[in-house]
Amino acid sequence: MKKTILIIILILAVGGAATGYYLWNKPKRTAADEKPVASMSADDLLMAFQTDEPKANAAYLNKIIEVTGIVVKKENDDSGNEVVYLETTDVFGLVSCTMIPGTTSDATDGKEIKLKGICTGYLSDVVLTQCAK
Amino acid sequence: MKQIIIIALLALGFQHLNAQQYMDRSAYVGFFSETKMENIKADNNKGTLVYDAATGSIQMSALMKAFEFEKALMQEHFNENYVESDKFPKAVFKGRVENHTSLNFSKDGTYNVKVTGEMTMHGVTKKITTDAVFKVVGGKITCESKFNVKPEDYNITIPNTVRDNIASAIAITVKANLEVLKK
Repeated sequence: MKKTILIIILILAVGGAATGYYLWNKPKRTAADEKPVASMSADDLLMAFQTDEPKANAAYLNKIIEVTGIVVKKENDDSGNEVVYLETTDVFGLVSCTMIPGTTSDATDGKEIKLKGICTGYLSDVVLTQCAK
Repeated sequence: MKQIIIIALLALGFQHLNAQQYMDRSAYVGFFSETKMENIKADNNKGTLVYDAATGSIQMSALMKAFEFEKALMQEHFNENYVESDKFPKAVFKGRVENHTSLNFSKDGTYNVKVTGEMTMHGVTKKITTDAVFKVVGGKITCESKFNVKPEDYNITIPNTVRDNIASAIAITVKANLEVLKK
């Protein structure tokens, strides 16, 4: 009897430790392994946020969005990740897409590209992070 | 037609302001929490900073969800339990450079200034005063500032079980490369 209890406790402890270890080392969420919930032009995405930010936040925040647009420029941020800026018809705003660390896009200035990423919100640009092709 | 006129007017407006407004759409905001238990660091390279050289007004915004932590779990806790980023997606600082007339972007140099203003985060607005350094090197303008933020000041409650793991004052670092405002 004592032995059974001991074994159960041991199994629970090992199970708990394994779950803890898994959670602690859980990989980050990226756009690579998820299907986009919406697909639209960079322009439509920016307009959605400019027209009604709370509504756009409710619809797109933290979701995987696929955008299509013309590449304005491509640069590396301070952490060395590739950032692709997509053109819009707005006088100022763009859609900025930061690629998954260590990956690159096929972006060429002036050419159209389709990328998907996690929508993190709107400042002057709509920001997508952890983007994938 | 009306739209074209509006766009043209806006474009003219921006051109006029170009002479004095500077911006960085990929400004860095970092935070660092140091305790005996553990150090927690997060980086955000998606901040926006706009500086108006004529008035000295400065505005910076950062999206809470764009803070990248070392561990996915930390990032989840930060977003879901602490800053509640679904409800409060961004932090915004609005203020001014006190002695902005001392800044001369056409001359290389290091300029120490004082920045005062208000920061809104997690639905709470608080006054902030901090020192900042503007540097002009070969026409390139950078600006950097460090200040502390207490989570409790912004109604961010940290459970007692992990209170010792998170510093009572979080060190914030801001770095921006200012360029003349353009698309």
